[in-house]
Amino acid sequence: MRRLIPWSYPMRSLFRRWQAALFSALGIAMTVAVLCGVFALRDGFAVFMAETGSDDVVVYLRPGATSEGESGITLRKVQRYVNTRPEIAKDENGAPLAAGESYLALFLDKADGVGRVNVPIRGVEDASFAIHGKDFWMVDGRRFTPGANEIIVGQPISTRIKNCKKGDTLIVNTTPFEVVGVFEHTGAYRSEIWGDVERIAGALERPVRQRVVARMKPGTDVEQLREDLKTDKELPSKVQTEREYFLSQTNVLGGVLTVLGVLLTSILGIAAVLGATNTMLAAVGARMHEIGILRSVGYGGPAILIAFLVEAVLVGLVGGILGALIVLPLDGLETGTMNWNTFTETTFAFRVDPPLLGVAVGVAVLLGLVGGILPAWRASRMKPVDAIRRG
Amino acid sequence: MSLSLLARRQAGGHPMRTLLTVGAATVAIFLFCFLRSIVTSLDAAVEASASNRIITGSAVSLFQSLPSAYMGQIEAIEGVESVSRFTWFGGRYQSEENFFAQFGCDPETLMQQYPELLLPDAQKRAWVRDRRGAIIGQGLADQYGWKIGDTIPLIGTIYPRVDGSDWEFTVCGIYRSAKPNLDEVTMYFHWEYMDRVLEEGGSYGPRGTSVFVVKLADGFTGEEVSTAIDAYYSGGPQRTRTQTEAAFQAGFVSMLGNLPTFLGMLGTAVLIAILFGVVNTMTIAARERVRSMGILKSLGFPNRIPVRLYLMESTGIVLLGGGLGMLLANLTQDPLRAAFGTYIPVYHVTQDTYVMAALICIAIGFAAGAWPAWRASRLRAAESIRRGV
Repeated sequence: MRRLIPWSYPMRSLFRRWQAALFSALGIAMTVAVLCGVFALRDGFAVFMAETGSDDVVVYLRPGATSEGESGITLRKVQRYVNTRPEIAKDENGAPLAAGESYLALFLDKADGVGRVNVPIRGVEDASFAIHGKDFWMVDGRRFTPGANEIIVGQPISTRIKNCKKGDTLIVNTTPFEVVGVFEHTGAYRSEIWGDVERIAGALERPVRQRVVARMKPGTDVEQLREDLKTDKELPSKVQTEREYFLSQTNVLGGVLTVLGVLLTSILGIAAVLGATNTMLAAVGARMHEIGILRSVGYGGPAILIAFLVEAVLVGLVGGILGALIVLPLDGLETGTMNWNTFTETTFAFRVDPPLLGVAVGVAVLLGLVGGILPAWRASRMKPVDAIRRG
Repeated sequence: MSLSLLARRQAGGHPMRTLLTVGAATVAIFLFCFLRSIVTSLDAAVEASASNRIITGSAVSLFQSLPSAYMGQIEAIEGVESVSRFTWFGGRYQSEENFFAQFGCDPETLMQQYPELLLPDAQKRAWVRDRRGAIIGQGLADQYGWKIGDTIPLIGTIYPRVDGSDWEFTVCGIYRSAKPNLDEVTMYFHWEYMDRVLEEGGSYGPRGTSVFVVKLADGFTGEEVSTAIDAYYSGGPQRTRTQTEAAFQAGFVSMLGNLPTFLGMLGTAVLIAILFGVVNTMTIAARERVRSMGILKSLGFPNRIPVRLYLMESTGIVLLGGGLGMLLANLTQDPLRAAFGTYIPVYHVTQDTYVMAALICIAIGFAAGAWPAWRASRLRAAESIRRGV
């Protein structure tokens, strides 16, 4: 007789031994919670950085530089880019939408007094605002006046860093700058301080700019541009779109978090599987009598195997749902973590999205299933008579 | 029959279950040791720092170099015995992914200031003589298979050569370190050579020095000399911040921000998970043993006996698993150190970690045994014999 045991059987068995089932489900839940926690941090960071960049904005760096901090472009060359590059778009007055920006990560004290972090300060030109368009907006105060010792700070910076509230004075090297406004940006610039490039470069005694950023004319072939400028005589450059640039700044932290997440999950997963196996073994042990009866009324070994596997999967499912519930509150929670590519602190939110929750539940079910294999196999191999007698 | 023997027999009565729980405990305690060691290893460099060295860097930014002229001025400050220059090079080997720390430095002063840098005399002399020479840590030599006499080509990122070629350095020596404040995954080469190339226009990049390492003269404290140096440059052109070596190292750890906290949270989650696992096992065990506990009671054993039995069993299981976990943590130190490379160069499991792990095992064992023990102590003999089928 090839019949399956009704679905209600594993379900009811689970409820009858709910304590043991709950504990092993909790073990699984913690495992997937750890996985999701680490990945939510990684995804939050990666998505944040990826969404930041625009495909229409081009970033020119010095060849070899892997980030702005390593790059250097002389003022003469900045002028050359702005005035001669044909791919750079113009505004309604015919002025090129391009800016030479200076960039340096400053040592600044945290507002809560525990430690110092590296906060990027960016010297920008008028054109910079036009280039970033509506991804950038002021939330408080006003923009800095060109030529004045004034700065504006990203929203998270104003709360996390000392002397960065509106009205405060921040000393850059030896020059005091007044904080006149707080801005917000959809991406990475929100973790920065902005000021007039002339004033910032002057205060830092750094005459060289770090990058040229520009809005490209529609239809520009970036690949071609990249190739052309790589070996250009006048302006050898490393060309990336803004999105590519930001993505290239995520690989170290992203890699570290991926390795950490996978490593922790595999190790913890082993522990969770052992726990699930224990629970299911006990379940099989306690139900030998029942198994014997099921066998003798005609259910075959495979049917028993499936019934117990279903039970194990249910344990995993409960664990997965519990794990998802544990990490769900993390979604949207803001945190500051050092970007290992630039050594600067980046503020972004954990991201717990449906695909991640799906992975969590999937892994949990898998852990339950693996934990159920041995006990289910044992149960399916019992001889009916033995099982009834021994139970 | 002693109580501990009975506890052992009980645990042995279900070998598979006990084994699985021991395995889970092993895994969890290993993870705990691993996560905690990441944090303690980051701190190790801070703790081992020398007290007779202070480090002068830019007060403005980690990435801002100081003018090289500062060297002579610092040497003239009272309490300074010697000054050496260190410049972060930031080169990559073959491709952007192969990254390790490289510094341009003053070889002779470096070796005099850092007695913990262990290098055979012949290699020391060879390095001082060879302008393009470099020394590398044993860890780097192992990782890339470099030997003395090899040429290491590096791609400049901050200092790209104008003609697009690689920088080339000759391995003159392979050093070991006597203390965890000096890692074995760094390359040191001649500052003068790099500066010469920059001066001749052979490379892009800022001239200058990332930090000056100052060795204090006898009888001077780090604090007074630091204050003197920083006061000298308080008006610019680049303000300095001089710190003890320990504070300088601690600055790097604090830059990691909330990473140590994050690892701590993960560690806690791991321990909670294992607690669930052991509680689970003990609950299952207790359920099956209601009857035997009833028998013990009806034989006249007092309540504390089943309580002790359960506590002993669960603590024993966790301690056994935990012991294996600690052993595993101990044995995996070398491969993990190699895997961490530049990021955590001195990965090491400290004695404190083992002690903490052992205490946690006992605590988890007690917590997990407590519930079934409490239940067992409340059972009435007759009822439990009847109930326990």
